[in-house]
Amino acid sequence: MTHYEKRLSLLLVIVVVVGSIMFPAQFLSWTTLKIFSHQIPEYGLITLALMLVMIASGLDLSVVATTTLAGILGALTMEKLAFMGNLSIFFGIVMILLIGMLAGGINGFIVSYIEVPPILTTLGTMLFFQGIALIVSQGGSVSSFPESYLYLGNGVLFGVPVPMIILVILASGMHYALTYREFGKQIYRIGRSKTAASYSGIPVKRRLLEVYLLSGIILGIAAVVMTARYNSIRVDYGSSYLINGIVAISLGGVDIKGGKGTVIGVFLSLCILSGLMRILNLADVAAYISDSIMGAILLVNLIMQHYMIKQKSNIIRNNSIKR
Amino acid sequence: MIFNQISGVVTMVRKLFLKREGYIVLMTVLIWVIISTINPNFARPLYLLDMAGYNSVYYICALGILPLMIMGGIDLSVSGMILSTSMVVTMVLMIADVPLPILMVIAMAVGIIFGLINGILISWLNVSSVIVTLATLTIYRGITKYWFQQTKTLELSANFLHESKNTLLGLSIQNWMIIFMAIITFVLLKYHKIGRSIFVFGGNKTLAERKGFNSFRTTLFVYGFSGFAAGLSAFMHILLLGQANIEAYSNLDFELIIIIIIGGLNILGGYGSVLGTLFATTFMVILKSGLVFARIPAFWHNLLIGFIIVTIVSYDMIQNKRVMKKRINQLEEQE
Repeated sequence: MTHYEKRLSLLLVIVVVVGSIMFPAQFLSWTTLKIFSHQIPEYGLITLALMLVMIASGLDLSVVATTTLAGILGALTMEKLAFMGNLSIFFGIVMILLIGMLAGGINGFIVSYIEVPPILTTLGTMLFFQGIALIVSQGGSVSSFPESYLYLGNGVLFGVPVPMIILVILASGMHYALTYREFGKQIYRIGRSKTAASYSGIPVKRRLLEVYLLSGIILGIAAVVMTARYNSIRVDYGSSYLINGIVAISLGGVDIKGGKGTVIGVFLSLCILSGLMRILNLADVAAYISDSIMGAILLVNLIMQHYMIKQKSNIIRNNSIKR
Repeated sequence: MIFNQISGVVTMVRKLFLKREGYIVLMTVLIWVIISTINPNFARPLYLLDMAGYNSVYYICALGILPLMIMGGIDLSVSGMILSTSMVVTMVLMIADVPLPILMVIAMAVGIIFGLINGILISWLNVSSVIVTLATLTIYRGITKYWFQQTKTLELSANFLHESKNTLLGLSIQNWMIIFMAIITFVLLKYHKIGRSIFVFGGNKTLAERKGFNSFRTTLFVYGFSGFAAGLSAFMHILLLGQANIEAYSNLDFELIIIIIIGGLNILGGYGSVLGTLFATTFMVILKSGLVFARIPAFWHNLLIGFIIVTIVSYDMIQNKRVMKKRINQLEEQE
């Protein structure tokens, strides 16, 4: 564990302690754990996809739009193929993953080969994907899926909800790929400096495209979980996940300029934020105010990171003076 | 004689089209003509003025974030600042019956304060403006929505509304404010020292600092200006509707960025113009209300706007690359 991750785990402990002091009966209960295990996977998957892109290049604003678009198109496929029975589930999931990949591919192509700044690219594609989703669904919701499909969102395996299992498997896979494989190391290098990476022989453009494709697939999986959990999908579902995801990522130690961040850190920050949300919920804080608190956390975290960086550079400077 | 005049006009037009604003002027005229042929009601010039007045928030805010985007920043908190300014204005009106001009000054001052908060945070923390303004956006928006949920929404008195409907030389107060804002922005960017420093920072940050331009002051000014525009447009919005509508403008921030980009801003920083912004706003406004006029379902708005932004930005980048390649080739030939 890095220094920052240790700090985050300390913060998690503080949140849990504060929660159990304030609400001893409700906070330390099975209900809390249940809420956690349903809440975390929902935006955890989107956050992971966001993180992957942010390590390599920059902010991705189109994550939620991609998720809902994939979900809606997949849901419509399932509806059209309902006569096939359970086979329609298979086609629906394939459709969702394909759309996720396609959306990621469009983003990746524009960012890597045309070299448009990622914020502007994803801003445009966000509206574009939203527009397609709106036209296809005519603004309404698509609902009622086959019974066995809902298992992916609500089922329980060995006492653990299925979405949580999906998230844990994906997160550990990503952790492995990012820390131990050449692919992950190259992504970090690209994030730190594209020029340096390309001079050291990394195929920057191809890697970036791959990163966006991968994040698109993860978003597709998020769409599967989301549709299966709610048994319906609409364009404005999950619209708060973008800001929540960015807060989680920033708290998890991912640098918006790229090249920094770990899966463990993001996972810890997801737990911290869920704990905080549970406390706010128990304390009967209005939904709008807890949105504001999310923003405030983001700001406070930025200020703290600023001072940490300052401290670090001071230490380095002092050491070099001593030498 | 006539021939000379015509050729003069032709060179003028050609000059305009060599600039980046050229294509947006052309597109604006084109879309206006197309929609007017579908629905003749759209062709009346007076309707255009009315439309500009009704969409004054877009014009004023777009001009407000222009300097900031020339400098290479992004402000996502404009809609949040508009909301909180209208909250403060409502609070003031609940306490006392303030006359219209003073209320406007209050709105502007409040907007400037909100903008300065952004500016201070960004230059102090030295982080991306996207993250900071996203954070302030959620804070402002959450607090305002909570406050409006608790209290009754603002209702302006009839006298007040009557006063605001006065026109001067046939133009409404909204139209005048757009003109005022355009002139201020133009003069600041073109003739004031701070405007020049904005361009220099947009072009090359290190170079600007070595030349002795003050980074802190410029950043503060730029974000304060955006806040000023937000405050002014919040007031215009209240005057227009007679109430503070908290659900309006939820997508404003993204649309503003798109307007500025369509208006010819160089996405790598250092170029942008008032004229281009004005035309781009008109283009967006026509597109939005024109789609309704042309009986195209509202579902298509996002798709079209998203498609346009991706195409324009990509085209811009390809063009940039081509120019760079040409320059490199020229240099190699010289050697």
